[in-house]
Amino acid sequence: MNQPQIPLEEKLHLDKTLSIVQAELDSVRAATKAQQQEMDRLRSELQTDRELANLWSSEEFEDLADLSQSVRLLTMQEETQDTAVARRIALEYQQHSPYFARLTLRFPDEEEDEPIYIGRFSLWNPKEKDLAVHDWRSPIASVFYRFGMEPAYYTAPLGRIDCLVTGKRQYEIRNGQIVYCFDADSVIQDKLLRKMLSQNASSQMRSIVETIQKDQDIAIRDEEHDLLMVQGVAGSGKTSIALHRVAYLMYEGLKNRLRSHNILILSPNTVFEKYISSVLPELGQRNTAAATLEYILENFLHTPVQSRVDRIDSLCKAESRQAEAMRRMLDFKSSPEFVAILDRFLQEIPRHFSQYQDLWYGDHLLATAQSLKNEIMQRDDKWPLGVRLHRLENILWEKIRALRPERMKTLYFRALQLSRGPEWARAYSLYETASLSRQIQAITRLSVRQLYLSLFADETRFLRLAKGIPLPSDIRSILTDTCEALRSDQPLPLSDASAMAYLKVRLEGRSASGDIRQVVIDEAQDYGMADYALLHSFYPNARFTVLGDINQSMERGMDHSFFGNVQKQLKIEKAALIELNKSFRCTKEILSFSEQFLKHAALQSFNRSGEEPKILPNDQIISCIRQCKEMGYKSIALIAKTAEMAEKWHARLSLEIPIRLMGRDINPGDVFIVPLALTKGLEFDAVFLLDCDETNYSTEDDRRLLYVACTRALHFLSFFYTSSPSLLLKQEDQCNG
Amino acid sequence: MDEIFAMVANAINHVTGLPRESIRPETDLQKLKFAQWATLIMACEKYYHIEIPDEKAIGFTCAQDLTLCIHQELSDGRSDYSAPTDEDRTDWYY
Repeated sequence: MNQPQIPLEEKLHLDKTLSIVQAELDSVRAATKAQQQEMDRLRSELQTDRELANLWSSEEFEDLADLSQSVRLLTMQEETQDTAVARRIALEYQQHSPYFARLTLRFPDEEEDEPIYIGRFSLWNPKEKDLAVHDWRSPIASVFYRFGMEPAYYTAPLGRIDCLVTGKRQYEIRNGQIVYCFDADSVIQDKLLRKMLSQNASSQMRSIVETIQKDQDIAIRDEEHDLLMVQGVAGSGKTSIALHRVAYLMYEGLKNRLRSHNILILSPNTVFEKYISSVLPELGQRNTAAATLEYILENFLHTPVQSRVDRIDSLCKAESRQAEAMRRMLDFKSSPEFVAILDRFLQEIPRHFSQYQDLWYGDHLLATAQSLKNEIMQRDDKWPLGVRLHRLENILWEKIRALRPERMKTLYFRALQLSRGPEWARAYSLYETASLSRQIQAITRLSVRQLYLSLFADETRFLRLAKGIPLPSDIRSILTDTCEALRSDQPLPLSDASAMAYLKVRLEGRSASGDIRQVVIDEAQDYGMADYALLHSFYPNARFTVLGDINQSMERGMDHSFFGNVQKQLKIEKAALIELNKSFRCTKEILSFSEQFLKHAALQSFNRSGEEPKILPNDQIISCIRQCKEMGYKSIALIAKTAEMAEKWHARLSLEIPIRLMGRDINPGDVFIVPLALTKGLEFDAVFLLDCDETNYSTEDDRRLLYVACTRALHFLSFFYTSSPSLLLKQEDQCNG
Repeated sequence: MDEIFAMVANAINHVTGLPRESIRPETDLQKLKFAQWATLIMACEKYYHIEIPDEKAIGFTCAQDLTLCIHQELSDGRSDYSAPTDEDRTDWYY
């Protein structure tokens, strides 16, 4: 990019802005230091109090009260300190780069243009009592992302504000110096975007506030819908949208008290979680929870759950017939039909699955089996079964407590008759209570795992429950295989864990967290309908942002009905679906090659050129890696179809070059081997797809895997084979080495 | 709480014969026979002038559970128990 001369007034304006930053930074640092001293004093007091207080003694209540008071003060100070530290970090960033764009706006009835500077964070000018820099999330900044040099508007708290864009300028400011600036007259700032996109991939995702596109901005700022769905092709910036939307919602959340702990980001795996972990802190937002579904399920069900990565990997390594069977099972358990069967099963549980029996306490009949059943069946249905059973248990124990004095009298008398001591009577009473407790719990305590197993173990019941619902042809083997998996000591299959958690939450009426008000689901195509039904039950008051690409499902084929089904399971009426067809990640050559793997291709490329993808024999891997390193690529990923194949390749290649194997928690360095299942959502400068022989990639499912693998590449893509390349790679205009 | 635990530990030692110094809050009570269980519970009840409900007693898994239950009963004021005298300490059981 040619470096134009930086106008003097720009330099002067930057100096002026930096002096404001410096003044505020000095003041924030001084305040932080004073707060730190106060916190140290409180901590020291707390330590003394703690030493004085005997926490095991109930008599030291006053000491405990003092201690609690000190802890509360310290917590308040820590919160204030956290805010000050966040501000200090923002100001330190602004010292290097206070803004990245300037809008010049003409408002109706005004004669002069007004310059609006936009940065990652806002900056207040105390002398002029005005904002020197506007936060990129502010309403006025939306004009920058959405309009060219034309009449524009934005929605402020007071309503719609009309204006005319008379100027747009973009800057790159580094270390407090303007590297370049240029006037942009369109909405899409191609020049800057091209520069950004041609950079190398880093091990951590970066924020894109400078280059957010119009469609992306619409998705980021949407507040109208309770469910926002984004179908975006690979590289269209879905994850960036998800994260910037979170930052935006928290900014906007100032008015509706949405805090970081009210937001949950669901990510496909822990590698991805780490990859995105620096974006929100970069945008000034910390402490937002990100988790995988399996992590949530493990905590909810208190049992190990199979990871999604393991599930994809076992699908990839299974031989074709086995993989087909696994996919059919997954298809079924991800379908709305399966959720419908679970719902019917839930209706049946109170009738058939509690072990109703007559309950006796000594010679007193507490309740008959029929009366217990009636009690449960006749209660108001709006209460979940678990709550009704819990209530019944309490009623029974109240009855027992009322009868106990009389019962003890009888037992003491019997002990006397038997010439035994009172401890005999007490032991008898304990024995009797323990036995009664077991009987009561057989009625009131339900084991979700046993219930779920019973759904699959009884074929006749299953088929009755599924009456009128289309079932896969191999439903019998699905039933058998599920029972086998549930009885084994292996981690619970992910789709079964979701279904079980759904049953549990519906039975017990407990949600995972009442605090979550916004759930952001990335790689949404990887979640089944039972997952969405569960998420609705877990977070009944939450709004959802669901981002995915139906073409990037590694586990099963899907179509556009997916998003409609998601909406049904989440039971949200105010919903919108935004489609993003433009890919910014790959060069147009890589994108065009990848398009062949899609059945319904609708990819648009951002016009960035690079090398044509190559199909090469294995013996060229090392030379190709060297070539990529010479070209300055920072992340060169060798993608193997399975974890096992990745390990084999690692053992082989590490004898010749320094190369690492990317595990779930490893930051792999510049050249690494990674199993396909772990590449979800990631991007690399160069992608080498290993073992691209016909034997490994031949089915329709493999076609989707190839699409996902190819679209990880930013600049360079090569396929390597041992004997003959997969027929799926054959393309008329391909370039063979 | 530590005093209650000391009493509970003494009672467990008396009932089971486990060395006093080996008894910890996590000491497992689930292996006790009903007779031992009853003796232990009755000892605690007698000492603290409380009544431990059977349905709570059968749920105790460790010494800490029993300690907490006694603490709860005392805190809830369901006892006329007062701090132990020296006589109580030497002649606490039977």
